[in-house]
Amino acid sequence: MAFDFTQFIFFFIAVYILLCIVMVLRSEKVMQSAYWLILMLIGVSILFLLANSEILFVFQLSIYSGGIAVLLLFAAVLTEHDELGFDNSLLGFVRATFSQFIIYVIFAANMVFLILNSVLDSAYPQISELADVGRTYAEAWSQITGFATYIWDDMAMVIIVMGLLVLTAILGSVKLAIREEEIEDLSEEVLLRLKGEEVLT
Amino acid sequence: MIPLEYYLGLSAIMFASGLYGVLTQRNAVRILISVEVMLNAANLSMIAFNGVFGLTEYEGWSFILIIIAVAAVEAAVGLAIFLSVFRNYGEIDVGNIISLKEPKDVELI
Repeated sequence: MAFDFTQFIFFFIAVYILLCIVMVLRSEKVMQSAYWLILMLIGVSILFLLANSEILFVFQLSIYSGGIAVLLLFAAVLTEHDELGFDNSLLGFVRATFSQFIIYVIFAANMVFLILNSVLDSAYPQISELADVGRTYAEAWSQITGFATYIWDDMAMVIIVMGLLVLTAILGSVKLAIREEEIEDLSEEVLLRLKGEEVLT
Repeated sequence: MIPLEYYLGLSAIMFASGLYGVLTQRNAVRILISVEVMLNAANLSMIAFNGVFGLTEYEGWSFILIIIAVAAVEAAVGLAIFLSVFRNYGEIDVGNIISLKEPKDVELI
């Protein structure tokens, strides 16, 4: 079996994902674990793209890397963490700035690559060749519309029941998270805010 | 063309890593993050099998869509439970939350 360019990309992404998992498990702070999890989820979404599934690539980026990651970051904020992200020294500043610059360059290069390839229609088959399909933009679009028709035709009841389950679970989690305080237990500052009055500091 | 074995191998390693995290971590948020890694491993194996054995590509995609939705709900409910636990116990270290543990000094009738 010939070792083509697609497999090279797969191995690169696989190593990246495994490195992210190691950092998720070995990071000292929960916040850093959540950040590494976001990077891992982006890598998995690229593997979806390599498996010829653009729509799951979008789902993975928006739902997993967006929604679930924000939930986990919110939970990590509630745990103990340092106020300052890096050392209050010149070396710490340079180190933090350098790492942020590298991450910025990687994401900016990805965005420029995707935008150029989607705007220039003739360049889009290059992405398809990466996925070893050789289809055009119109064929990929018809595949996505076919999937939409499939889930709203054959899978309609499943989607509706799943939506109800999701709604029930979200309502239950909101009920769990709501703090039921006695009004006497609140501090004077919170009471003033509830009454709409300005708090004198 | 990427062979099926590559996807399955990566998926197995990811699942094992997530399982290791679930079994060894004590912080509840870290356990939740490890569960997300395991769910992603399941998604990877699902899309690999779908590309090889699926009649159309849509069946596997539907399953992955459902798994992603369930993972979102699991994260939301899990974090709400941990928030409630933190309010009652002041910590989310799963080793110290032992309310449902069977007391040893109580004689069963």
